[in-house]
Amino acid sequence: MYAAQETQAHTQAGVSGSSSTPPVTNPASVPDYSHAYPGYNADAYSYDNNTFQNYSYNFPQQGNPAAPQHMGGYDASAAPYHSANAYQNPSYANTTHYQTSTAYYSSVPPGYQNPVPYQHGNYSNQWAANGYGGYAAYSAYQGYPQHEANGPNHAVNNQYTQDYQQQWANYYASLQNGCKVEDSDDCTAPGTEPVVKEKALPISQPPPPGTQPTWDLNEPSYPDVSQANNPIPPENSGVFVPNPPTGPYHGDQYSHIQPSHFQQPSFYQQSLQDQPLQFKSSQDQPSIVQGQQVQTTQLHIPGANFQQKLYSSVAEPVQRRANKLQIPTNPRIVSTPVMNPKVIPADTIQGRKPAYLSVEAKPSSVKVSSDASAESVLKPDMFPPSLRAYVERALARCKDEGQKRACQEIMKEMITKASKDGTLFTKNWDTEPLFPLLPVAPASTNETVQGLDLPCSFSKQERSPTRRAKSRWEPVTDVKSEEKLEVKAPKDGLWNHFRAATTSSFSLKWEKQDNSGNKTKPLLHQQLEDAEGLKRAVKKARKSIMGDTQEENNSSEESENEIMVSGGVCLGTITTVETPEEKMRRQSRTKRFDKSKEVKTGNKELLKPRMSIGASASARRATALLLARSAGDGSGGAVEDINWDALTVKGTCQEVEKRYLRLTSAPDPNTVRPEEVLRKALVMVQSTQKNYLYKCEQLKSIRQDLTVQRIRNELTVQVYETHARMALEAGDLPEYNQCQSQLKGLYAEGIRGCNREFVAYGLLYIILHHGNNRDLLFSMARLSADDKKDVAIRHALAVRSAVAAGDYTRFFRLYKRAPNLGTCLMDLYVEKMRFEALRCMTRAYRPILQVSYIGRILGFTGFGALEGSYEKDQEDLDECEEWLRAHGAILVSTESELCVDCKASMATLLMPEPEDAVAHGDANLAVNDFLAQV
Amino acid sequence: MKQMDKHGQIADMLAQHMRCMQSFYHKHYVDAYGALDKSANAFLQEFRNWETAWAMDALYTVVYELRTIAEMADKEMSMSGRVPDRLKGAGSFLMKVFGTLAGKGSKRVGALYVTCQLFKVYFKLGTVHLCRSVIRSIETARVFDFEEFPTRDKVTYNYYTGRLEVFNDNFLAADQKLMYALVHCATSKVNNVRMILKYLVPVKLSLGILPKEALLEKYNLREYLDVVRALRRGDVRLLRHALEAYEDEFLRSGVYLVLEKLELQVYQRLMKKIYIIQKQRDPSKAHQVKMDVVVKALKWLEIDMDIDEVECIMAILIHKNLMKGYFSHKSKVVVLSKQEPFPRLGGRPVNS
Repeated sequence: MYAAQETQAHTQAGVSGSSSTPPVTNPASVPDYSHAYPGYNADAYSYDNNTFQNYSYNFPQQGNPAAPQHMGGYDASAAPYHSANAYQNPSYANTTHYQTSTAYYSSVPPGYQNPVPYQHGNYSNQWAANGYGGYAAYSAYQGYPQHEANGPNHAVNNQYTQDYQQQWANYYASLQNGCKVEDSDDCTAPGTEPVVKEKALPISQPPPPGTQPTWDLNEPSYPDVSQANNPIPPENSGVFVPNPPTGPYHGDQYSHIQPSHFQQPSFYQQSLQDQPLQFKSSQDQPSIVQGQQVQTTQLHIPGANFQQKLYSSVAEPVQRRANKLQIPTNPRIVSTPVMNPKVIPADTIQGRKPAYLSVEAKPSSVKVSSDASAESVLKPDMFPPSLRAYVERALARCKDEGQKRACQEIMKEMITKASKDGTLFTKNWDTEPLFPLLPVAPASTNETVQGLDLPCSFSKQERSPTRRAKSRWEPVTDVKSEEKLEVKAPKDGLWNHFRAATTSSFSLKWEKQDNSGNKTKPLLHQQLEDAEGLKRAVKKARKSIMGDTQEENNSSEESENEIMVSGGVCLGTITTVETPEEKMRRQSRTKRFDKSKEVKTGNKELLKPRMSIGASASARRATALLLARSAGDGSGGAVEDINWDALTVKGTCQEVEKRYLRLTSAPDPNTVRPEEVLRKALVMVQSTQKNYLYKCEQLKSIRQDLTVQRIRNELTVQVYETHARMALEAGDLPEYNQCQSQLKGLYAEGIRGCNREFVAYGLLYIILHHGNNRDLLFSMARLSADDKKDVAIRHALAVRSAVAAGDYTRFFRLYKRAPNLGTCLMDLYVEKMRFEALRCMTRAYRPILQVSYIGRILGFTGFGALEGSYEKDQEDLDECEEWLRAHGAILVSTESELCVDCKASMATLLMPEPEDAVAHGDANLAVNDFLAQV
Repeated sequence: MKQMDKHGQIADMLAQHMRCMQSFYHKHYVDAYGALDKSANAFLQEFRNWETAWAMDALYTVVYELRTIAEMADKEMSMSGRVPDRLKGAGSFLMKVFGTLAGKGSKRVGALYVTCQLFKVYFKLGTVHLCRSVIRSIETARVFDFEEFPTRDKVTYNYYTGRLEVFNDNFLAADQKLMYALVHCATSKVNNVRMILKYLVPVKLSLGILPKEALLEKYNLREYLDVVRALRRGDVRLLRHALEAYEDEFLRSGVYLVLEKLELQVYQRLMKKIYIIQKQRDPSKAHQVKMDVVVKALKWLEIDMDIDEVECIMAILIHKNLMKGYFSHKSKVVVLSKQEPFPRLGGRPVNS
């Protein structure tokens, strides 16, 4: 098997343009590194500078011209990144590509940088600043959705380990050999993670004795994976020993995890957090503890990475695509003579992609597997990138090896056919529907593994298939078949928790069985893991019970924040018990802080590309933009030609409730609810007993989902109408106004709703709150003859004329019998009208005017008459009296009743300061709600 | 090299202009606009470099043609289902031209013409608020006396700014501007006079100045005939009918709200009539008008109002100083002042 791998690895190396890799003597220095990767040498170096610059931006005090040692450390830290980067974006050598490279950097680095800080922090004070710099840079990415933060971590791991190539080669080899998944995992997984750490060591410091050898070993073994996986330096061997036993275990997991995608941000953070600590300990006690550590990280990662994979699958490929687009020149092209320049970047890009597409937990392994298998179907240099993407998509669906093999067969046929037809390069593989999957092989595997999954992964695990099921890479047509699969998985988080709780003990056993090869270590690890896992499980459970999980998952920003928090900025917070709300608030505060920091650092190089590339734009949009751009001038005309329908997001989220968060990047289908769910959500909002703020938020998130999916139909109208009505009831005019303007557009498109009701509101709004004659004339001119017969519109027009004439009697009569929610709109004008009326009255009437009359005319009383209750009228009258006094009217008592002395009052009338004036500006909003909102 | 550039501009200008003419001839207005836009830009670049304003007439022509062809292009575009945006483009080009002219120097003479063309664009597009910046630039400039602009531009400018004042219910300013336009407008341009009167009449009416019917007849402003009659007679019903009959037109021209406010004046006239009749019968008690009389009068006019509403109208009349006196709620009587109970507006807007 290893032999096969070796050959494979060699082929891979050949592909990527790197020839033989001489052993590295000094891992910490760049030159050595570049030696190791002759193919990338220039790239790596240039990139180094970039990264270094970035760092220095964040931490000027570090200065560019660092001491040799520093440099070494620095370069080394950057170097692994390079190798990875060079892969993805092969054009670093060219300075013009600097931007794109940074763009890539910006999208990916959070993860990458994360490791950096902890390495340094752990190993030397000297590097603390550096580590912090990493964080600063990280914070600059705060805006970036979580996926990026997560995704890269694995990339990082991979980078640290060796090269992707190596892994792929490795994996490929294993696949080729017909190895079991476990085996392949065995090769990659254990190899990967420990190596990460080891590499990290040299980076942060001039070679610690133990680590260096490992690294050396890895390097030479670059072409030969088997060696890399079984390095036998005296000190490090301890590291590797534990791995083989874990391997199988992981393999199992992975085989299952791979098809389904998990999302669990918080875990990931935690694992991140844990890593540094454990890492340190591992150094102290090389063999055993490190083994544990490795295992724990591995264990955590599956849970942690669900999301990673998911997000990364979306974001990273896009990014890469964008990169590719912008950088047609590929340094590697130079080194490797290839006929089709496009193919090569594609190859690299595609090669990358799988890494992110696949399970993050074992990103390397799974990704590798898919990629490797993709490779087996496609010979690297001969196919268009879109085809490779297609193949990867297809393979990503496969749940087991059997399926995968079948897939490969089918695709081979397809491709042969396509190449025969000559459509291989012309076909748009990005939109090509995937062929139906064969039925999942033995259901038992799936089930057992799900049940036995790691404690940390449980809550999300079930949901993850849903999420993963529809990647953006998959055409819309595919959704249904995928959904069928999803249905199996219960979506209820609570249930999952329950199950997790029951299974956690079970999983222990399972592990023991599985890890028969190494009994003590798994056990040890298991205990550790259990402790951690339980803690997290509890927390998770609480969150999901609070209905917050979803939001946690969905809001990329938030989760990123969380990572921030857990990553080390405030280590303490994570462990303390806190309510979700509190956490939310804290996060938002952190976010604000980070944003300002980001601005302050002024790291434009990082920001700019990020913006220009729109990092996580949906894959399809990216493709379309690509097409548009590559098609020609990239002028406005090209944009017009984009088929937006093909780019529209199709949501897959099944949660009815969703918190509103303003989108800062392209929407993720996994957090977007499809129409039928939105329908339910609307009903839920309409029937809920909660306060307006809650309803408003829910409706906003519904509106957002509708917008991103470009749903404009009766449902949309209903949502906006509902929201407008609720806003009116709550006196939230700004929100109402938004809805109204949207409704105008929707009605104009011919979508039916309560048009006239809202036309009437619109008129009332202009009359009473806007006061712009031109708008009013415009609205009135648009009314049809039929419109004018409508009760509500007639009412609104009557109100208009009453207001225009200052006819308070008519106004208050209309106020009393306003249809629908017209009263709410008029309510807001009543005070003004009353005061005007009172001024008019005091001027016109002599000598006195009865309060009862004023009360009747100005709409204080008269409601009671409907109910026939005299008491009500009396109450209202008292209110009127109070109001009159408040406004400076002078009241006198005559023999019969209370009157206003008009002449005396004329001079004393005043508009009192509104009693309900509140500091936060909106009397309709309770202070607590307001604070909660902020 | 400089020579080359210069010729390059002129060549571009002419070539595009020819292309525009050809497209225009074939009634491809969108294409014509595209070519003309290029030509105009080339011309403007040249024009900027010229020290004197010798080419002002050419610029006028370019500006005028660009606007009119943009309007045609927009029509063509909306016919073919596209979103018309050419006039908007023309507007921004005109703004550029205005920027070229608005400074000091001899070229400033042309600024008002471009301003007027901009007004036409903005009024057509319904983006009247954009006029404000141009107006500010014209009216605050001290270096150039407004009177030095060509008369036709001054008339047009005052016409449009007067219309804007109508929108803002600023009747005095509107009256002033529109009167300026009317006085300076060549009497031979009947259509222009009519356009001015279309806005001037409502403004004058709201200031209490009624036109002769002959004037309305002469300039074919029949829609105001009934309004004026209603004001003369105090016939609320007639006013309402007139407003209803010409509603669309009034709404479109934007005078509806102005005319509607005339209703109070009509009530005033009605009260005055009642007062006069009472005076004829019994001068000693004429200044006391009972509410049921008013209600009866309104009923006769087929306007159904109850006592409360009529009371309210009376209060408003008194409040707005259309009627002097006071209202006694207890006895439901309006007690009118002995001297001039119904003050004439006479060119002053209704108190509000």
